[in-house]
Amino acid sequence: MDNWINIIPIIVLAAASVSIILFDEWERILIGYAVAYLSAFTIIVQFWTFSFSLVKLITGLMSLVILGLSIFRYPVVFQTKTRSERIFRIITLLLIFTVLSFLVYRVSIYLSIPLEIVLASLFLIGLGVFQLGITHELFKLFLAILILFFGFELIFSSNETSLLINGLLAIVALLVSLMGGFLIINEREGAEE
Amino acid sequence: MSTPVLFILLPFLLSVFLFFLQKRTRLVTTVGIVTCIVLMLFAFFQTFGAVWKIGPISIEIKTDLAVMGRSFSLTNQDKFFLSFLYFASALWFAGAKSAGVTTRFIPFGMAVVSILTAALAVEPFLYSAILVEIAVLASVPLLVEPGQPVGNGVLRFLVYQSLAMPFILFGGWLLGGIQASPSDTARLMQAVIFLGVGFALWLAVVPFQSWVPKLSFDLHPYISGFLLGLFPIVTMLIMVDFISGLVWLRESVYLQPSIGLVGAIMVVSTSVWAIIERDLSRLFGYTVLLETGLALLLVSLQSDAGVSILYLSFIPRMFALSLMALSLTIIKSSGISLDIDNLAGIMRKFPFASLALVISMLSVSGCPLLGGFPVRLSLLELLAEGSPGITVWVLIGMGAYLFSAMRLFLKISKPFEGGWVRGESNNQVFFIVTGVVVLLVFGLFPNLFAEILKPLFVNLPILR
Repeated sequence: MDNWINIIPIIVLAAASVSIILFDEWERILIGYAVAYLSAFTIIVQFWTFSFSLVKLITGLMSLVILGLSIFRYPVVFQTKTRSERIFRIITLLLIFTVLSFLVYRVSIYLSIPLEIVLASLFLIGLGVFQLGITHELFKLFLAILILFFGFELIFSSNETSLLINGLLAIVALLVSLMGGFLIINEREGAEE
Repeated sequence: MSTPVLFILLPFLLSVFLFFLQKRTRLVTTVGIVTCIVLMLFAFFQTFGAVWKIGPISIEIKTDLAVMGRSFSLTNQDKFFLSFLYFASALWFAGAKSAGVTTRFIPFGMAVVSILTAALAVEPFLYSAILVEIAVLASVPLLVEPGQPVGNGVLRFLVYQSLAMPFILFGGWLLGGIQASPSDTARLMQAVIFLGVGFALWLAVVPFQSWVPKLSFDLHPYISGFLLGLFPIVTMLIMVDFISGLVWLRESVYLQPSIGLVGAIMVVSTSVWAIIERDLSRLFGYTVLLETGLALLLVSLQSDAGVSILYLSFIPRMFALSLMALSLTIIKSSGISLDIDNLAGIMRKFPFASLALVISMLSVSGCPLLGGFPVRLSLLELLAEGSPGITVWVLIGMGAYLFSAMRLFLKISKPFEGGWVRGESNNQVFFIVTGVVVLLVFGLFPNLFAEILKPLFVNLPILR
């Protein structure tokens, strides 16, 4: 790690990930994602240009806002998790993070990307894949796709700085949230009728 | 004027325009169909890169369009794809009213078609992953009925197609880095694995195929026919272009056996599933998977003949799938569940739709006199030369699918107390009869189509 202080945003990111899979309220889940985006931003801004990092952050936060607005219009109460379910989720996520932590050094050398970025990226990808595997709710599913893409972007954009490709990735992130919002509203309107 | 402007930008802008005119159904349908037919004719007759003369006016048709340092290129090599794509779109749009799909089908359908064309045109290939993802997202409004909950199949479709993008991008990026040192075989292999997983997700190759029958079960049959008829073909062509562009890959000793094995597994497994499947919507999904498996086998041949047959096979495939989708739509829209147990004697209520359903399945299974027969026969002949084992498995698969078609025929032709009636409208009968006639003509005179399309088969991708 270039800067050991970066362990702090990594820990915050991991804590936000744990909170995301634990909480049942959509507001808290969104805050968890926002914290994850901010933590990743504090890392990438040290290695990328400020404007480039800011674009990633704003795209991510905008996507969260779009999904948040959609669910805010038709609030939904997710099924409350049982205690054993929560324990299972925490243990699984921590196991995923542990395995990824063992991989991170080799991946970092292989891709010639700073260790902090790779660690943040792998944690986000791990969280996204785990969420995709366990959720059926539209809101959580689209958030999982978003965070998976963001995690991937951290690695990909470290080496591929083409404006077009990063612009298209931003469009994809916004489209994912827009379509997620559309599906959520469509479903909730039908349920209300 | 350039081909990307004509075939990508113009239909996309039109789709935006048509989106705001959704209430004027007739106008939207007419504009959609006419645009697709004009583009199809233009792709068929006009040489790209040459001058287009309209009376005293001469317009140079360029083949490239630069956008932010990258280029979109549609050359004479893409003429078949463009003609086919816009012809197929015109057909799907023409049948939309008869199928009773929502008014947003044509605007969003046209947007999806233009973005998929962009995915095939963009250079470097890496960018097509993002464009396909955008096309998937643009198709989302087609995937839900207003006010209805989203099905599990739709979610899986979104997840699987979205997962493909990082794999393709990352694999493509790794590959780009290797160009400088092609001797790095370990990295080469890693790039191929990433790309292979990405393509497998796109094409719903085993073991990522579960979303296809689920999606076809969740969606309106006509919409699932349009999407499942379109996406696998475009991604297959992107894959073929990609293989063709890398000499070391097409000369690899592992390529032919691996694609051939995957194709054979898909053919056999989906046919076995088709035998035990009770729901016709899901059966439609298995039919799409079977077609993908057979197309993969054609790619695995790595020969000029294989590529020509692959391109030619898209025509009977499109007609068979659209016939099947329309027939299922007609039966389902009358309130009958598509479970096979509910369809006993349905032939006497919907004689045209029922026959079209059976004929399309027979064509897919390669029955003589129908459109699928010449391409299946050629595939088996070519396969038998190099891989007799796989040929036997493919024959077993096709036999199993034929069995499921015969089982359906026996069920729907059972005697029914009510006597013969005709439940289809005149429009629907017209589309069904046209589709059946095309399948028959293609089956009886395959060389006729091959001759007509011969000018388009120039500079096809080389797989060996």
